[in-house]
Amino acid sequence: MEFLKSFIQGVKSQLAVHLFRARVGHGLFWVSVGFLMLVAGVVVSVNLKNQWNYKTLKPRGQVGLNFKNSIEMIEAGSLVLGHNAGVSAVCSAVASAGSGLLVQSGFPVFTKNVVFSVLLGFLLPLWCLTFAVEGLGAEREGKTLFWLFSKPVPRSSIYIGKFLAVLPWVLIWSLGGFFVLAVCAGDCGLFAFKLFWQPIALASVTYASVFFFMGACFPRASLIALAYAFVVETLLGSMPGSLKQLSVAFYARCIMFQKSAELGVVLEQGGGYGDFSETMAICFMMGIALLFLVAGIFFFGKIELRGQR
Amino acid sequence: MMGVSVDSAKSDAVPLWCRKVSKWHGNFLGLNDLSLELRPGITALLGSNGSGKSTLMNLISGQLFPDSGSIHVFGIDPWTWQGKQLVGYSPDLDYFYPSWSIKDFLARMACLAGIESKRVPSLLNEILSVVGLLSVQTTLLRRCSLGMRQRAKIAHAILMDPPLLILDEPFRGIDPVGRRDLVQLLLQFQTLGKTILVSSHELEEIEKLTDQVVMLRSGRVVSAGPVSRARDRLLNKPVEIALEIQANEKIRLLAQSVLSNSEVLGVRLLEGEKHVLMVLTRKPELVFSHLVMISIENNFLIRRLEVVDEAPAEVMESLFEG
Repeated sequence: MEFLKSFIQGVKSQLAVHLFRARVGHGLFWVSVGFLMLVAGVVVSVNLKNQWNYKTLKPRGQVGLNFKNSIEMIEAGSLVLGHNAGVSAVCSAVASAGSGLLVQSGFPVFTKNVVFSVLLGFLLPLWCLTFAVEGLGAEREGKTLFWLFSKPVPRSSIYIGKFLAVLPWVLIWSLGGFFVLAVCAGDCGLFAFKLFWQPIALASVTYASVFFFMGACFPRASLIALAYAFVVETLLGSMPGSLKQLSVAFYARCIMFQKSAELGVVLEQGGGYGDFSETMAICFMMGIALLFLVAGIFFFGKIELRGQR
Repeated sequence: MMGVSVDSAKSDAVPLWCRKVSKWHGNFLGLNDLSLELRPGITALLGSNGSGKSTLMNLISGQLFPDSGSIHVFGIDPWTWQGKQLVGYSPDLDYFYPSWSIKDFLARMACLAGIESKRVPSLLNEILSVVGLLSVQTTLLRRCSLGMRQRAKIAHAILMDPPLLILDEPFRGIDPVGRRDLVQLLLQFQTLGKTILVSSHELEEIEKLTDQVVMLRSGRVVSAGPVSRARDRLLNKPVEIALEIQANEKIRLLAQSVLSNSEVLGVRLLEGEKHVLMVLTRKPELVFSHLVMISIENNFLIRRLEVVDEAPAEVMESLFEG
């Protein structure tokens, strides 16, 4: 009972001192801002060219007509074949369906190219580590852990309190960044944001837990976290086969895949994202977050302040 | 007041109780089977660099965990959060949150320590006034002098009004007036029944504070006793004077002349430099005047004459000799 009281006190005091006091302006922060601006710029330019659709889509590895040209050809065919009412009607119907698909194709194109590839594969881990690694990593690197360790509260409460204090920053930054990209893409982007903000938020919390653990327990955690983000999330996460299941992004994609499938949109066939139900993917992500949180509490509780002088 | 060998069982009433404590830093043995017991009052912890002072203080304050043996502060393990309530520690580290002011730093530390927020303003005023930082409380820590930061650390140590205070080199960087105030403050704490362990190289200040010293060497307690004894030994320690002359053929004659002085304990030639004579004496000021006299008489051209400066570590080592 006394422990619980002290634990709650420790978490509350950490939140009171550190909530909304995250350090911005450090190197990684500006790298994150830079990448957000770069990707937003590309998304805006694609939007201005009205290319968030299947207009320029071609069969893989083939030359010739793209999707839009094909529809135009079919439409023209229906006019040319006007004397044959049956064939003309079929051509007309196919052309109309194709045009409708073209109008609605913005969402899967944006999701596949921006959300699945760039956001989950690279930007989101980078944004999350920007604040999560700094949580206790900055105290470790700045050799100020002593000021936290000298307080009469359990170490676990310091760890949890600090984690909860950085979490709003991680969520604001990752969801905010996603929203900026969605706005830049227009209607299809905003639709994707409405549909996918929850898996992105859940992935952010999971990343936060992983990177917070690294910051608390390893020296030069930023480098380790960057290496993890690049090797596991970017490289392994985009590999064919089951290796991608090691990445957090995989489970976020599974949730998105299921949500899209409910709307009748199949995002990436053959990616293995349909193998996990939405509930399973959520459980996996929460499990990873919890595992790293528990591991962090354990290792953080054993840290001795050697060589702090 | 204090005992080196501890045979008594640990007790809730004993402020500090260490039993056969060892601590390794990699391949280096920081503390070696150390046993110590402190009673209320001020005790000075002396020892050369690397003797284990900071390791011991870090163990007592719960920043390190002993590899073997046990430590209890009022019967509680200082590694636990309960133990931290009982220890106020001012470490010999100089890392702060640079963008915080002194007042913000102490207010946030008070909050982290669980002090009621409504109590904090009055408590801070009191503590800042006690350590002499009231007028500069809004100064950012990155702009503070070493002395101001030192006072901020002491203010942090007394924030929770703990019964055991551990102060690692508290006089470092503090001006003479500040030192006097700090000595007064610690003496005042002593009268309140607190137990204070202070490490310092400033023997003069230690002597004003307490008569009780614990001396560490190679991670062991080598002696414990009155500080006056240590000071006498330091004052009587022989010093070496380096004497360099231009013509090295006269060095033998110079050595003979120097040795005629009864205050000279011995002479030696500096290895590799045959024109430098090292003179060992307990009274360098008397030997200086004698040297000037013999130089004029024998026409020695002296190029250098100086007392070889000793590092504090060596001075402290001398305390343990004999």
